[in-house]
Amino acid sequence: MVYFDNAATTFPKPDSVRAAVNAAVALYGGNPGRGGHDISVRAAQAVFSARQKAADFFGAEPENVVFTLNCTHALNFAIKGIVKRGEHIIISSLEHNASARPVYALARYGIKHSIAEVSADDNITLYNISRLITPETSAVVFTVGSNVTGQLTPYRRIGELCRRYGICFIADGAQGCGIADINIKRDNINFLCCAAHKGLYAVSGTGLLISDGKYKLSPIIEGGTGSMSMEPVQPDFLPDALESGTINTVGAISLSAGLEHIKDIGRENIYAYEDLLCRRLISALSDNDRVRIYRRKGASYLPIVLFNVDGYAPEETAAYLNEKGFALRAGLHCAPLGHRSIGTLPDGAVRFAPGIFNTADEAEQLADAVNELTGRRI
Amino acid sequence: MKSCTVAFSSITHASKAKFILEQYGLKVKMIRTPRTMASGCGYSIVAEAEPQFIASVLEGYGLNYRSISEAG
Repeated sequence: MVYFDNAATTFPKPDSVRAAVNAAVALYGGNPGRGGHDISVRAAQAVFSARQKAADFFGAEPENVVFTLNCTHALNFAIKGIVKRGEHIIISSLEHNASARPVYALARYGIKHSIAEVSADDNITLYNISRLITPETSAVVFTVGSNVTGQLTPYRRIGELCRRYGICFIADGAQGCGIADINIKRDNINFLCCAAHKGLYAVSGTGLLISDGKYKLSPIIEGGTGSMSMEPVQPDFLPDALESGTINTVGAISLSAGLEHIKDIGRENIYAYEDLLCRRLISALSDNDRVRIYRRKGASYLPIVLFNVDGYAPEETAAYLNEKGFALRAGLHCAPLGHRSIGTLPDGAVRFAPGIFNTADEAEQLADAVNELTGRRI
Repeated sequence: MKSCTVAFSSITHASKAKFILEQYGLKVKMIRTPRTMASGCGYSIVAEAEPQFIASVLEGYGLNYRSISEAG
């Protein structure tokens, strides 16, 4: 089976990550921050090392790196922790439900939202955001890159716009982290939410919320933090304020190894290689008029190719490809907004998301299978 | 060599302090905060240096600590 669903989670994980997971279970089984014995302290040091690597990678301070279960948890912490009754949020037309649903849910507290259309032209996207800003706008929530089409947003320019208006910028880096060049200080990102199990190669159940330290979030979960235990209120400093309960030590240690893997290969090289695989697929399908590829002229993309085959529902295409030995995800990808923006509701489309372990031959074999489905012999 | 104990609210802050001070070539150990320094859960570091030096370095990095004292 050839795995082309790396936008859902990267698979396989690098050998170094697998080894780190083994070591985590064998050697770092203590509960970090919950005891003074050597086994607990050793685990805490390993977790701190992971925080430090993530901080270095994204231009943050280690204490501002919060471990979460996944990117959805990080987005919920950021969105629900920053806005207050009567305020207003702007989200993009490409948002995943991980951002959109928390925002919709806040309507019951009188928090309004607007949706800024993402254009292929960054200037128009910036204009679309700025015209929605009101005196009540307290946050802009924008994906770095769409999980549906892979389209990159002008996140740096959005960060600059938010800085100028004094608005908190929450970036959804679920797809972009590990691929796009992201530095929260340089890019004026106040909160970066990451799915560490995707482009950062950590195991499932590992997410990150990274703050630049400018804004304080009200916690949406309280509990034991291993600190200030006599106090009835949650600590107000990071990471403790947002890390109640035992953290995922195995996930943190796997993240350390994943970040080292990226460093060894080079983030830019990973992006270039996966983009090459996308271009191979696009090229091999380009003269098949029964295949529609959803890319806009002038836009930039993460390594994702979204397509549909004329005469087949997306799930039918994916089921056919599964039989042929290719794992691709079809449907709405938990992002109906993104599909609405390209006119693929209600059935969605098929997503090709290659990874660092795929080859150009595999991408071309997939194209052969798609061409075969359309009855076109090449 | 004199040593001092620095108490922190968070193990992450204590870990960061340990990392920074080790860059200065100091020998640093992490311990649970002695009850004579602070109540409740917490972590401290014991470093082989004058308290004034440690305080100066940590403040230079903007790292908050709860208390600092010369180790007995």
